[in-house]
Amino acid sequence: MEKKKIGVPRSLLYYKYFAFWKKFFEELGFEVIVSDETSSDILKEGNKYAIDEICIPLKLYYGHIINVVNKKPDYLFIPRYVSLSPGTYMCPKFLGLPDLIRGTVSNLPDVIEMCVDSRKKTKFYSACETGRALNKSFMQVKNAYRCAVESYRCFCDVMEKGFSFTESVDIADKKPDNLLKKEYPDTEVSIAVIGHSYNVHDSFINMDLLNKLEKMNVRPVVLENLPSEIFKGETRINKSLKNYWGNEEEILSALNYLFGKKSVDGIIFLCSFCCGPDSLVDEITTRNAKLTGIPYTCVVMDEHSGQTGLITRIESFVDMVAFKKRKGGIRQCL
Amino acid sequence: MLVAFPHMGNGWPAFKALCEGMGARVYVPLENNVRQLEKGLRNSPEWVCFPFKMTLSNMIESLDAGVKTLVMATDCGPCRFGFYYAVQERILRDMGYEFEMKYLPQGDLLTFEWVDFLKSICEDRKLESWISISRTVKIFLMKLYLVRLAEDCEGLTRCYERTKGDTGRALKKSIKLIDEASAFSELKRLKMYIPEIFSDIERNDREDVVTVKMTGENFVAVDDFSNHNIKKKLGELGCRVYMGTGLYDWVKHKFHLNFHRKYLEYLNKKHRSAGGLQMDIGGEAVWVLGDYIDSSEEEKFDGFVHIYPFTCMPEITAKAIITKWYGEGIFGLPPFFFSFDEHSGEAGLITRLEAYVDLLRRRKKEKNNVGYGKNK
Repeated sequence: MEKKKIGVPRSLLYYKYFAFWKKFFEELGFEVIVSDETSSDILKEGNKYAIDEICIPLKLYYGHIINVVNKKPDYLFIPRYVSLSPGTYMCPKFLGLPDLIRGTVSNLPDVIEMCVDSRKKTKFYSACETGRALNKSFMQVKNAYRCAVESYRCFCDVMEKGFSFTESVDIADKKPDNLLKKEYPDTEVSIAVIGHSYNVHDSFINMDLLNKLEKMNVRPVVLENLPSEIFKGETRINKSLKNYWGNEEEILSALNYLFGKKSVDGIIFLCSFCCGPDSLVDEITTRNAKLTGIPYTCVVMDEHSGQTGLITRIESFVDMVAFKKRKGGIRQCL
Repeated sequence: MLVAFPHMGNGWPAFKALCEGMGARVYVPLENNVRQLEKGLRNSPEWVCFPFKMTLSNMIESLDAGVKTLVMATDCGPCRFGFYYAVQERILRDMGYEFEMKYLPQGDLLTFEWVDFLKSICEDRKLESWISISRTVKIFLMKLYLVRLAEDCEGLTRCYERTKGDTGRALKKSIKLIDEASAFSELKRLKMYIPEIFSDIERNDREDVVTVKMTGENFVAVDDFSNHNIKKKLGELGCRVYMGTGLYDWVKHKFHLNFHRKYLEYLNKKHRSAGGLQMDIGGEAVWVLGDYIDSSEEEKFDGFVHIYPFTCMPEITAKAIITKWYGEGIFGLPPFFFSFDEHSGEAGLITRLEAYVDLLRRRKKEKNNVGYGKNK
């Protein structure tokens, strides 16, 4: 019998949990189809559906939905990630994502939701709910969940060893036994590119920033390359306020780690225009960066297509960082 | 102890009573104005939502006036509001002010964390008893209710006023009375008196009045400076304005007593397949959607006005869904959206409002004509 197909849009949390979803659905006996790589056509398509004030990752999400629906899947997978740990929330747009898509795009195939809400239920329970919606037995779901978690862990390990996102997905599929750290050529400076995974790993939104940096003889470090222990603790904004945004948690802990350890020479904070959580987190981290003295810049992205502005800014930032490193601080050389 | 809190519409008499009931002196920041806002803008993050900028401006104004203790409410997600006080404190400290920031946790009022806040602003030991706290809270709630009552009356009367500005004066008078009343019995009397103030306004005999429901993000919906007096403008154009949200609703909701909002949530659940939100995603998104469904099923409403601050994450979600619902003809109530930020030009807003009201009026006329035709 031919396998039923599940469509997954290549956007938002795809860049974080795809290894999990893919294994989970494949073990359940489905074929996973992913939308094409982001391109200007996808953005154009997304703009037809998205309203004007929404952030660019969500506009692209619409585009990817249309793209994957055109491939005629039997089901469409739209996850609803509410909270990843008790007491936290994701961005409001993630909370209402399936409703938003259902409410704005017509003629969708059956929508499969996976509602991950750690405040109320365990992740395994959410997986069971998804399995039930797909008419699968408990044992099948249990088995698939176990394999999926394993695959996700493997993916995280590979990312930590310094591989890029696409490489990691492929490698995690093969499950290599002892994978060595990826060798990078010696570079003068290393710059951390911190931001939401859907901004950092989508080379269309960020205009291929990671490769551009590599060409400038800079080693880019992304969030997933950092040691996994640092993401375990909780982050605080001040004495009385604990951060409650699940998607900012890792950004804040990564930045705090980098500010403390100073293992990189500079930090680029990537965020998309109109991003609610980032607007406040950026304000705090900019102030923290000033205190620690690490060069820090915030790059805001929207639908622009001209690359020169970005290149100029990155070039001057890299130059400044390299200059500072060579002279051991700008102050001394003045 | 001299405390100050940022403005939120006409809610200040209630908050004042809350702090004064605990023995603190209160500095009420000057009424929101452009000059004040400028200071806040200069120090705010670039694309944060408007309430952040406005409340920061109020704080700067109070600190300049010599206040050493600031009070700010806080929530626990999922929207940005919970981060406000922490980021504002950081910004103000970096600006060089020395002060203490007290926060009023209102994520869930049934956890009674706010009692600790009330005790913390209380210097007189005698006032720390449960009796005085419950008395203060009772007066606070009553004042909030009266403010809501006055605002409701205002929205319904303005289109009928003969002399322009009468309703505005009546509202000012009611707010002043609410502020001055301190005993519960006085407030009870006001409950009867406030509708009288409004019904005493001389009326015109206007016939082309249309009815709209106005709702949206709480702060912008109740704060007249932030929403460029949209309620007044609508009223002068001949709209009876029903408010779908307000401070009183919010507080009641946080005490889990707002059954109307529970009903609106149920309406969302009912329309799941069309895209009704299945959970509270912050802001007022769920209730805005519920309100939209509710008002389109009611005969009396001709329009629906949804206002929110620019970049507000939950409200945008609601807007997207409403746009689709209306566009596809699932519901037939014409919506009007407006996002507010720091713009100061009002002409754009007025033109849009005029056009909208004209459309509503024509629609209503056509609807009525069709009705007559059928009867014949």
